[in-house]
Amino acid sequence: MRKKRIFSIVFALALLGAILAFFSRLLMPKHVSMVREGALVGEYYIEADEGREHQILFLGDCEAYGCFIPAIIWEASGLTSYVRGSPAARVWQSYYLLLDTLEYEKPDVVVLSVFALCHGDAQSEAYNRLALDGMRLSKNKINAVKASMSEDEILISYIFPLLRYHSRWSELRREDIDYLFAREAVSHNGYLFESGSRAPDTEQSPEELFDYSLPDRAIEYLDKIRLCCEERGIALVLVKSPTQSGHYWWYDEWDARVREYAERYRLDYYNLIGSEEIGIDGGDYADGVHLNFLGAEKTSRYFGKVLKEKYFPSAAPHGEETKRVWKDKLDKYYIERNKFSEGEK
Amino acid sequence: MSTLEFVGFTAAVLLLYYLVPRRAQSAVLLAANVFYCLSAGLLCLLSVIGVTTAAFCSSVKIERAAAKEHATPQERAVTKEHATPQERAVTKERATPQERKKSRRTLVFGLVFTLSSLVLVKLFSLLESASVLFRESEGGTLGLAFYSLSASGYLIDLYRGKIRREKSFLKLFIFVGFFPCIRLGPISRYSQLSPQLNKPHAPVWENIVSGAIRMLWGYFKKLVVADTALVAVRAIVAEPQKYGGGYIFFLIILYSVAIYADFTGGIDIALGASRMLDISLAENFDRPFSSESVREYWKRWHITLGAYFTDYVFYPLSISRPMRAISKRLRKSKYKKIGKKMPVYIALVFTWFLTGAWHGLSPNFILWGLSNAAVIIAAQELSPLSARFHQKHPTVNNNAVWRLFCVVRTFLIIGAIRIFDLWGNALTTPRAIASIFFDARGWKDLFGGGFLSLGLSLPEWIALAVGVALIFAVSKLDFKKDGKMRNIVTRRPLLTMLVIVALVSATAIFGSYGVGFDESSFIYSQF
Repeated sequence: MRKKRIFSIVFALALLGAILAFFSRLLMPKHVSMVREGALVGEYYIEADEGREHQILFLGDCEAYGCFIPAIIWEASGLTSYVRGSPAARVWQSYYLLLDTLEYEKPDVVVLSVFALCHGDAQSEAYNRLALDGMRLSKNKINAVKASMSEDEILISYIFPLLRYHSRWSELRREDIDYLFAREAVSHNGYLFESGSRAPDTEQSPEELFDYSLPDRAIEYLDKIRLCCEERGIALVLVKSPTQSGHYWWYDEWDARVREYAERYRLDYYNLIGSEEIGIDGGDYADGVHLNFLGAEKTSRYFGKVLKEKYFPSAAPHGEETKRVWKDKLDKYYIERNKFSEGEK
Repeated sequence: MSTLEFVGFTAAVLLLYYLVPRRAQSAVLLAANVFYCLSAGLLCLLSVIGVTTAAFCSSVKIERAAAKEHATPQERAVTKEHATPQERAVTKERATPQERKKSRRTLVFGLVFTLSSLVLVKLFSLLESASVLFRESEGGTLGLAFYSLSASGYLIDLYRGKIRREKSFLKLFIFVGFFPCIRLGPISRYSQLSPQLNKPHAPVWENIVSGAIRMLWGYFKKLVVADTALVAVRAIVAEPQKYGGGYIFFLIILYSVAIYADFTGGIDIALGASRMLDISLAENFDRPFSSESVREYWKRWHITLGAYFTDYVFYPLSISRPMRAISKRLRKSKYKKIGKKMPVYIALVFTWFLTGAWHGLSPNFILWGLSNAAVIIAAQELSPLSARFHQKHPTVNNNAVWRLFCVVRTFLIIGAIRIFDLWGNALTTPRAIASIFFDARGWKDLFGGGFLSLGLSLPEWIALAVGVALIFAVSKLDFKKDGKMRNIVTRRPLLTMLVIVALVSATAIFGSYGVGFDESSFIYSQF
């Protein structure tokens, strides 16, 4: 009887595990046709599992994954890169994504988009999910969750996402079945294609703030990113993307603080707003706030060259395999670009 | 404590309980009670300690008074051998009328002392919404309405000489604050629960697995059925102007289902957790929706509360001296017929008034209680008519259609009265019920697919219906009583485990919990 009971318990645990794992996979949002941003963080592991390493790692929020196109940077400067960003990602999330990336590779340069430095709290549970659900279960993920969670969130629901997404059973769609076990990447090495065209509202002036200091929590994690890079001999570069619009205004006071921080720790800080070399105009915006692919291409070509000159002046040429892989990536990018361009015509 | 936390907590208690030496098991229960109360807030712990202290201090005097009042010479002879010198002293002679009066006063004082915090909390709750759907979380007063009744029942039983005084404060605390039943009951009797709490227990496979299944079944009822149904209930209740007619009829059914699944689910969790500890609590339900009359229904619903009010309020009141005096006077007057019934009816109305007040002191709960009393009295007064009908048609009582009619009639009457819970304004309920007969638009709208606008999609309605059907089927199998079904399941380890897997999976997938839900809140824990 005892053996029977032990067998039954083991069998039940295995069966329960299989059922819950299956439903977890089925019920988690796939982020293929809707809210594609949610797929960004997880797609990195496709590269990581194939053992591909990158010279540059971009970290940040929409200003990172919407402004820097690794395929164009490769085309313009011959540098390999990956963008690990997600919507409204906070600095602590970028820090843990950096640690997570370092488990798989060691880039030469880490570029941190600084816009997130103006936030000391998470945007919302939904945005936390977009940033954290895609991370593989690890110590870094758990720490990232702990750093991001609001009061009404529970850690275990990040470890067992079924606890969060179980209610989707009544709204399952075709894509939940289609992409149950396998899926194609929606991004181009972390860049999410944006095709709209709407110039920012130049009439709209920035809101006056009560306090222009950067939150301590953001600076604390910026310090952690800096120290982490220093310890590993990685160059840390701070960048403000060229976007500037009403609700997403980069105030001069913030800029001065970041510049001061960069000077203190001898970091490079590039504020690309209004850069004549890039030449961003109204037609380069997707929705009045974020850049479309035209703006992102301009930014990537320019910034890729900047990074090449500064950090990789005499880098050894890439091997044939790398060149082949990146040619494929570039082709894939242009296929999507052309699809859109044809659609527009 | 959230669902997962309570499951984890119970598992940890279980492990410790069976790992420690048997004589230390009480200490584990004590620590578990303290931890559980603290998880609800320091106020909760202080409240349980306060009620226990009140009961403990009162019990010393009450025991002494009870010994005098109840000991007969024979009893004294029997107990003398085992009695302490103090007890021997107090049982020397039978109580005089003055002593009896004094001992009753001691009991009343003890009860006031024990129940005062409950009364205060009820008074303060008048400041909150009187609707069970829109109240704040119970917070620090978690379960006060349940454990203070257990403590007061202990004092009354002690006064009546049915039990002996608990001399250890900690043991009394373990009884009053026994963690599985602190939130929702069942309201325990000291004579039934305390001996179990103080004896050693060995782990028994059947107890552990049947307790686990019962707990999981409770969670299924609560999360899959009750909380899903409550989404639609809330939508209707929030806009009584918009949802009338058929929606109210639907609300009566839906809220009956929701409160049944919510309360029985909570009780299943409590009974399951206790069973795993090899402790049996009193059953609180006996398929109430199979009742053919309102009176029968109340014998099958919240049995422990009903028994409390019957034993400690209704019976003592109906045979009290003032009641006997009223009866006597009426029987001598021209109202001879009613003279016999009057004490019972007065006691009934008072008991239901108190039951309503136990749920809340606001008018809607008082009206709820008095409506129940009115229906029971009306049924009693109409019973001669009913008897004549059955005399004429003697076969009708065994007719399945007639019995079904009685069951449905009882269900609807109880359901209609119960929706007094839902609106703080007591007048909204009669208005809403009247709309069932006069608001044709609501009926048309409901059958035109309006139920899909109540916050649940069609698949969710289907899942709810399946859940209700499952509850009905399981209640028919009578799993609770040590019947065949439980033996079949628990004696076959593989089948047991498959049932557990099915319950965990179904609750995890179809349950209403997580963001936007407070799955740890039960409707009855707000009373």
